[in-house]
Amino acid sequence: MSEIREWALVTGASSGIGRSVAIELSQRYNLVLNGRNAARLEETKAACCLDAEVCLYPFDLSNVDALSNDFTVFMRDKGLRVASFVHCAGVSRLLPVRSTKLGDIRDTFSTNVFAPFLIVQTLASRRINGDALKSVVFISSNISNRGSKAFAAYGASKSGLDGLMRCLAVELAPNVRVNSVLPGAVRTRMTESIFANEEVVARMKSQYPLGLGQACNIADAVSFLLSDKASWITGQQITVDGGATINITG
Amino acid sequence: MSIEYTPMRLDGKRILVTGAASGIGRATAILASQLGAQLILCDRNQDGLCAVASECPGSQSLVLDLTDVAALKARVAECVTEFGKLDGLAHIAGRPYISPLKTVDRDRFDDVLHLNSYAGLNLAQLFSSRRIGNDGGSIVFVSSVYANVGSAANVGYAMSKGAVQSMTKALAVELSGKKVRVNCVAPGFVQTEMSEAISAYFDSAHEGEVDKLAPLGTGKPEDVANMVCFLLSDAARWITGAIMAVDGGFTAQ
Repeated sequence: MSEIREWALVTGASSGIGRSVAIELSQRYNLVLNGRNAARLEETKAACCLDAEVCLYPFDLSNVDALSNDFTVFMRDKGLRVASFVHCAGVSRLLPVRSTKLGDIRDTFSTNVFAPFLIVQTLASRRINGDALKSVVFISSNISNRGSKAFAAYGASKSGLDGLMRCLAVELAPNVRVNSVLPGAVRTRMTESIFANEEVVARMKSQYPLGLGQACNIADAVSFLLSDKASWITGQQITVDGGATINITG
Repeated sequence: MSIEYTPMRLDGKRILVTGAASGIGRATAILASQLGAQLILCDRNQDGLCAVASECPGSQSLVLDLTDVAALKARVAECVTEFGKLDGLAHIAGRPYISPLKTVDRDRFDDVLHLNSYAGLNLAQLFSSRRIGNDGGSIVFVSSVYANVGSAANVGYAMSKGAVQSMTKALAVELSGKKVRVNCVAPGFVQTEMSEAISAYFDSAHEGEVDKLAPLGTGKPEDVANMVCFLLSDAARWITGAIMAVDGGFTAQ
């Protein structure tokens, strides 16, 4: 049986959950890795399975005005057909409502919601990607269905992302499946400021029945959702958070 | 053919599967066996169980009516003494109850609750005892999307499956001290013997409508079995208290 490696696009692949997802997926996909920092993307590439063909796409996704055009040109130049897309890039600025500026909201929504919208639009275009696209996973957050202080812009963006996920799931069925993974607290570059505060870490630990998570816990769920083992799963939020959201005992 | 995905291994795990003689239970048993699990297969249908057991090498069969609490406790304990302590429990046995409110009958509703809800609780109680289950194990219950969305003449079934979701979350927190994970799969309309029995109630004018319920159509037992095995495996080691809809997008609409 000949095994053909399909291509998967992973955004936010230069660190954290995105890097872990890329490494996991490199076992059976060829990869397009997106991130802002080309040097860190190279580090991710170096950690990937040697059998995988890996292609770097350094681009700042908050630049949404240029994204569609730039990404289309990239796809054409490389002659790629992308079957799977995992959106791991995320912007998190934890600010009280009173000190949140329009620019903070705009940057958060650009990377967290507008960029995946535009990327799926491009990948669902027959002209650009044929009918190659089969499965999409967004990395949302377990804040998506809840409220928390200082999370207004981030939380709203993740709820928006999940709303987008459900609408895409219905509109693109049955050819494309679209789901979200909602991680709890995982220590990454993005969450470094939260984890730097020992008091906050102690509080979180008490709220997580299975303890705090690791990026590979999220990558395992992403890998399952992309695979044909999940071929009847679409439009769903898959929470991977050590039980934090169902725990009110603190 | 793309490269096959195989991280959800169940090698060496001892798992009890209820409702194993047919439908989702049967598909779960066969997949779990292929993934390396050693199984105790439980059902009241002896013939069906024999057929499934022949596809699951090394499995033990337990012909049992799960609504008989005393028998359940005694027989499972006895079986585990011989077989070894359990790492996983998948409670898949369930029965439908189609009845409009007007004709809901207390005795028949009790039967449904006993199998769909109480049996799961009794099994979890057994599993959490040091004699029966290992710390760090995984419990998977099967609920239904009808716990979350309404449909006519389905109040008894919906209540029984709603209870399963509440039980999942409560037990996930309570058993986390033992590192036992508790999760739940909520399937949509899947082609099984049970759903065929339900389809018999549908007006013939509506035949084929079921396929249009979900964006991805009607599901197969294997679709649900994949998620059950994922949750039983170490790939889901940071997932607890989760309700996973496997419904072809039915509840995303």
